[in-house]
Parts: sequence; C-alpha cells; structure tokens
Amino acid sequence: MKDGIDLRHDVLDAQLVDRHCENIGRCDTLILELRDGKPPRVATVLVGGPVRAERIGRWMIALSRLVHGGKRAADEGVSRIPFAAMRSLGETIEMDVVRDELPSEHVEQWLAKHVICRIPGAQKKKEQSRK
Amino acid sequence: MNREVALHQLLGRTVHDPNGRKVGRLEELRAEIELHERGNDYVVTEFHVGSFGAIESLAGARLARELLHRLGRLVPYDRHCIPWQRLDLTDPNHPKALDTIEQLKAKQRKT
Repeated sequence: MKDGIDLRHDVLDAQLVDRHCENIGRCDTLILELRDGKPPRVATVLVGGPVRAERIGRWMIALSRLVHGGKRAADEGVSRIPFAAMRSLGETIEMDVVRDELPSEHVEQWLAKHVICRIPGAQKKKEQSRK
Repeated sequence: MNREVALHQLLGRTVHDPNGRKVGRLEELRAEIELHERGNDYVVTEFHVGSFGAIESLAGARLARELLHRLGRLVPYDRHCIPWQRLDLTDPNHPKALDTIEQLKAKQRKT
C-alpha cells in the first residue's frame, strides 16, 4: 500500500470490495473530520444512492424524495464504512466489511431478486458463474 | 470542536488569499498515514489548488504538466500545494489560504 494517496484521484468513485472480494459499490464520497489544531482526518467512506444524488444536484435529491414519497430518511440506504476498515488500495479498494450487512446493499438485493432474476437467462448465467 | 465535511462539498471550491484574491479551485487532497497509539489514520497533509487541477486528476500530474508545458504560453497554469496548516477551513464553503498569491508563487518556485 502506498504511504500517501490522492483522495480524489485514488479513492473517490473507486470500486469497493468487501473482505470476500464481492463488489459493494463505489466510493460516493468521503467524510473528513476537521479538528482544531490537527490535520483533517479521513473518517468515513459513504456508499449509496442518496449520497450519489447529492453529488448530482438538488434536482436529483428532489426526484429521489418524490419517488420515495418523502418518507425516506436522508441517510437511509447509505453505508457508512470507517476509512480505517480499508485493507488495500489498488485498482479496487478492499474494505474489511461484509457486503450483506451494508444498508446500501438492500436495494441491490431487492433488484437482484425481483428484477434481474426475472430476465431470461439470468439464472443460467448465475449458475455458470458459481461453477 | 470537531466538525465533519464531505469531500465532494470541498472539491471545486474557490480558494481565496487573505487579500480576497482568487488563488484557484480546490482540486485534490493529499492524505498520508498518521501513526498513533490506537492505530493508524489517514490525515490530509496537503491541498492542491489550481486552475487546471482537474486535468491532473484525470490524466495524472506528470502527463498534465507535460501537456501544459508543450502548450506553453497559450495556457496559463498555476498550481499550488498548500499544507493543511496554511488553509483555513473554518467555513468549508469558503476556504481561505493563509498565504498571499505572491507567497504561494515564491514557494512554488523554490520547489
């Protein structure tokens, strides 16, 4: 692992994988902790639709609220992973977490179960990839 | 008191010097490992501010610098590396450099 990293170039939007090398999404943003008299600490990696919507713009946030009927909390579906959980940094960033435990994965799982699996050939492809 | 700010909210913000002049836009944050008793943390050590910093992020610093060097005088390019101690983030929406543009340019020439 390199000693120094460029947060925008190396981390932002990079592919994240869990400890079993399963994709858990992209790094949508990083939370920096601003401390008095100390350098800002890279505290948390945020992954999830609401964060992505915030980066796109206000209209996307409004659209997202409209879709969810305004009932969804602002941070619902957002995974907050401590930056200290980073195991390695390369083409992908390996985090010491388990995919199924992340809130941002609920939408992915719902889509996989209710949409992707119904596409003709999806089950066969899934079995092939398991082999 | 500790505060939190999202990286995407900082990137692209215009940095001004103490005289209110525009230094450039915040384009990159350099982080390094800080060792302490409880473990390791990445901390931001340097802020890269420049009018063409985005090209660096896309193509890498060396290629961007080479390209801009070849374009020569057609493209005015200023890039400043500001240490964390010299950037005031009290208001993250309006970051302020504690050095003037002249001081930053002088430091750039030395490096």
